[in-house]
Amino acid sequence: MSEKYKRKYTFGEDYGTSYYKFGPITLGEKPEVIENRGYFPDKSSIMYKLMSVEREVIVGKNLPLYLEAREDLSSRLIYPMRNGVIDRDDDKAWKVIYEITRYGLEMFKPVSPDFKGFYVCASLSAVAPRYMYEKLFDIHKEIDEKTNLIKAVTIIPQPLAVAIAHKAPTCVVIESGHGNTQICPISRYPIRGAIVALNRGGSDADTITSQILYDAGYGDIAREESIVRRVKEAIGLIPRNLDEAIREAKRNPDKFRVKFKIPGTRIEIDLKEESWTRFLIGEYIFNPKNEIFKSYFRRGLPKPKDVKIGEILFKGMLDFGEAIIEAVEKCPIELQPYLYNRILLSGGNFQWKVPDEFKYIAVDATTKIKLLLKEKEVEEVTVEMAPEPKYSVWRGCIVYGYAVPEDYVWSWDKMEGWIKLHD
Amino acid sequence: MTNDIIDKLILYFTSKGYLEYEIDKLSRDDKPELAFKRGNETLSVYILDIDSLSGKGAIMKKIAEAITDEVSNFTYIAVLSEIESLIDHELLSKYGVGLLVINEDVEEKLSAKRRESRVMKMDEEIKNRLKELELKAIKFEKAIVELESMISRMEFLGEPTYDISSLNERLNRVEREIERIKSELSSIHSKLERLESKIVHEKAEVAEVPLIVKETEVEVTIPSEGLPSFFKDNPWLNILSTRGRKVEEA
Repeated sequence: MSEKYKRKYTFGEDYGTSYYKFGPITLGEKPEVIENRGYFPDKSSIMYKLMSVEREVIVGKNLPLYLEAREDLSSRLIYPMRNGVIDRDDDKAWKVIYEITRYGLEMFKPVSPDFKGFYVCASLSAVAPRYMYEKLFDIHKEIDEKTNLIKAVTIIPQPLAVAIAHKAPTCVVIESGHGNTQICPISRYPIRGAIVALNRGGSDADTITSQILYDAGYGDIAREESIVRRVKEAIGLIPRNLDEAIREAKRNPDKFRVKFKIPGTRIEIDLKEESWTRFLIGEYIFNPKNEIFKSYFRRGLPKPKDVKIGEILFKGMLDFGEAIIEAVEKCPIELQPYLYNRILLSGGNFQWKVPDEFKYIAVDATTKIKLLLKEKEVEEVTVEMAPEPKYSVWRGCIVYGYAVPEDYVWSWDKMEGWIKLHD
Repeated sequence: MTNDIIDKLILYFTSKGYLEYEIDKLSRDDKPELAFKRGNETLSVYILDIDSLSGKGAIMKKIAEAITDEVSNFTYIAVLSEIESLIDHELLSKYGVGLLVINEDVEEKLSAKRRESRVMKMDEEIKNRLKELELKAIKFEKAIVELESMISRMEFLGEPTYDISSLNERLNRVEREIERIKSELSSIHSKLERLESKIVHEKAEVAEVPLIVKETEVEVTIPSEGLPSFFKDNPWLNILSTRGRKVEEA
């Protein structure tokens, strides 16, 4: 197959925790996006029979049209990639992955007679165990047997895709999502032995925001997950130095006072003299070891624990600076300065606003990482925020699928190459 | 029209992530000199060079073509710097037409404003129609749920305490109503599928952009022209293209 063929028929797939981003190279800059979830309708219901639904699981943009009783949602609406890893025996989750993969490929089924199948490059979390690769290959094989849509398939880790999209052959990629954070050094290949995973992500900032709302007398709102997330995004700040920020906010309570009106309701949240707590939200993501959080843990705030998922240990309490150093120091000494020289932040958990009036006391995610490293005497660092982080994994998949020679056969030792599905 | 101008304009837009569209494939009478595509966005360029000034009212004719271009999302007039003074900037700005001045480089004097193309408007109409049908389907779903709960309540009551013939009659009515709704739902479902496949089909056609690969002066392993912006100057292209080769292994 020629380079010209791959210019038309390279296909990228990013299995993110919340969204599935997919599509062929011809889409240009942005992929198609659907929620990474599937709904298992109640087969015994009259609705199921009347709607002539033949599929066991429903995915895609029309999914909300099929939702039934609210109380059933938690068991019937499945988000398979919530923490980046699917259990080997979680049949429902794998069924969803099958359906969204097929949905995505069929959406872009070409009509041209020269089409002989896509070169599909899929992307999984850096902490995905080998059986996930095997399962995903099997899924593509099964889809190809039924549709002839896939000529060859490969899988790459998401941090590698981010590094490719940002044109950085030597770097450290920090991907922080809803449930966890992966720190992956890259030097032309992902350095798998140096990956550090943290059991902390955007959901932990939600947890402390909920506690702050509870303490401020908004116990009913503190239970509403989606509202808590919106409050976090609206009021959370990353402090340059937490102790100084708290002192400053307590000295000038009016300046830091924050009110947030929930759109479409009459509810207004006013933290009043407790507005200094907005700095806790940002700090908790980057450094939960600060003394101040101990009192919260004593009062029942769940402390991020070390957990083992698959073969990977997700650490709970390492601050981001320590985690980066741990990952870099697992790499050859000569390489380390080059890795510190380009640290790429990717994922929704790094999108923090810094209002102009607070710039002397609050910082963005890149500055916070630099400060945490500086505390540990690592100073020659460049930290960048990945622009359009939502699409960078898909873009990396497209470049990888396009550039890697088609005759490079998959190797389980190197975890790369193509698995050819048909001629 | 000199190739030099065309080359400069192609370079200018491809560096912004646009792909060149083959003009011959456009089914329009008033074709622009150049057309580009980026994702779902389309862009036309009408060129005014010295040759094109020969006819009477040539400038106004070209500007009128650009202003009335209903197919592209963005429309530009490109002129040589010598002719720029003859162009009414205000008129272009009023109609959202961009202005490019070509000298050594291409300079964007006026940015084009985005316009909804006729094709996209049609797409929008189909989507609206689909939405209407979806809303109707939701209403039917609700009606069925209500009927379902009525039937369950009747079943739950067990021994009839009503007049059996009147209850039978009501049940028959409910059954007939369900049958009617079922057939309407099935018709809506097939309409939805047809519309959905039409939209998907149109998207697929749009996605099949004819790619034009131009020769470059710089020698690279993989040419990134005509590819999305994240390919441009990407060192990974060379790294990845040697994967599995002996040199790279060494």
